[in-house]
Amino acid sequence: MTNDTPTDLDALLSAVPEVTPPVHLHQRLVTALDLEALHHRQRNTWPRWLAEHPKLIGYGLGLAVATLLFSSLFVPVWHPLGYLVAEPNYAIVHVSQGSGQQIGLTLTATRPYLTSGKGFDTLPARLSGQPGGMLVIAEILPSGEARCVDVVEPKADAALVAAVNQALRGLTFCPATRPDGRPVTARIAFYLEHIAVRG
Amino acid sequence: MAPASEVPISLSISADKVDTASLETIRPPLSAAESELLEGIRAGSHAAFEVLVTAHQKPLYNLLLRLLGNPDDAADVLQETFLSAYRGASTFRGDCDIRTWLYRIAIRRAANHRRWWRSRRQTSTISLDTDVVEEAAPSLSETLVAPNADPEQQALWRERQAQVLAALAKLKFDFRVVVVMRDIRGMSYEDIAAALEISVGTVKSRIARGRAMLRTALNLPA
Repeated sequence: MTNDTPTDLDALLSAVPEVTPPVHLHQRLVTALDLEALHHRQRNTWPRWLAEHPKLIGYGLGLAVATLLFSSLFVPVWHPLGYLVAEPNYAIVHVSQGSGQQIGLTLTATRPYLTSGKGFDTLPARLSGQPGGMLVIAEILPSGEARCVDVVEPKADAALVAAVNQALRGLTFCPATRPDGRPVTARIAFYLEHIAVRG
Repeated sequence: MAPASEVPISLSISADKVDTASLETIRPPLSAAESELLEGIRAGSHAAFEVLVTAHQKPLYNLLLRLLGNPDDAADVLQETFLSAYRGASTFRGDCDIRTWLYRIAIRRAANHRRWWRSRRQTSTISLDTDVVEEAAPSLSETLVAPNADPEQQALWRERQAQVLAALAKLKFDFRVVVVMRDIRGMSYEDIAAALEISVGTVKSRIARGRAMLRTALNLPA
């Protein structure tokens, strides 16, 4: 219940005097506003625009976080491949079953890349989603000869390495060279989708 | 394009107009004069700042003084209020009049200031600018409270008012705000509700509870 009838308390409160602000306060306030306006005008356009649209900053941050979350949820990461891609001396190519096509290797100063007949220098997206095959690391000598140095997945055994070497001999590689033309030994990683080399 | 401070605006609004506007219960959100003033503020016009400060400085200062209990704090928060208003002028949609908008900012600022102050466990400050002798003497407005009373009665009045202000200072902030706005500043329930962005019913309830607490603190009959 509200009680708005006059009482002693009302009299006491209504008699509280109105105070006149200090004389200098008016000038202080106007000067502060003038300075703020001057500062506002001198500020760069885009920070001011951002400051005037704080919601957009929130939306941007939200979008970035959501993208990060979803990308980590839905993009499969196969660690051996990821590791090799990050290594500057490796590049990954996909050799399909029975491939007899020529693969050219060119080495740049910072990052080698491989080209197939169709041309790709990164791991095809469909391979990263099917980590059930076999990853082969081969060394391409300056002579153009390739030899298998490791088989990462699923298991490396001597017979498999020999079979991969046999398969590599069926392919032709251009020697890797540095930008100045000097030959160099390079390593490549093959992802063999079908383990046909076993046969 | 002319500099913002030279934007030609005819600021016909005056302090009197703003004060009388408060008496209206239902009013359009922004009058033409207030829209013009708001445009001037957005443009950073010195003339607009002069009008804004002249019109609203005194009621806001008195509100803040009674809420915070310290003239220096009231002046500081008043400055923050006007600066906030300038910064927020570009996004102010004009859903209420400028006076209500300023009250809203001032109360929010006062609440923040009080919270900040309490978190540092400060109780009082002494301004380096304050003249101690001047501070000790009663202000002109204080001596005008009971002009016809004799000195003894005036002293009693002042003592009683000091008790009232002390009791007010001990009220919870939410109750203090509404009691000050209603009983000291004489604002309508609707204006208080608009400034605090709460319902009129909540305003009335808080006023009733605040008054009851004050009566208890001052040993007054219910």
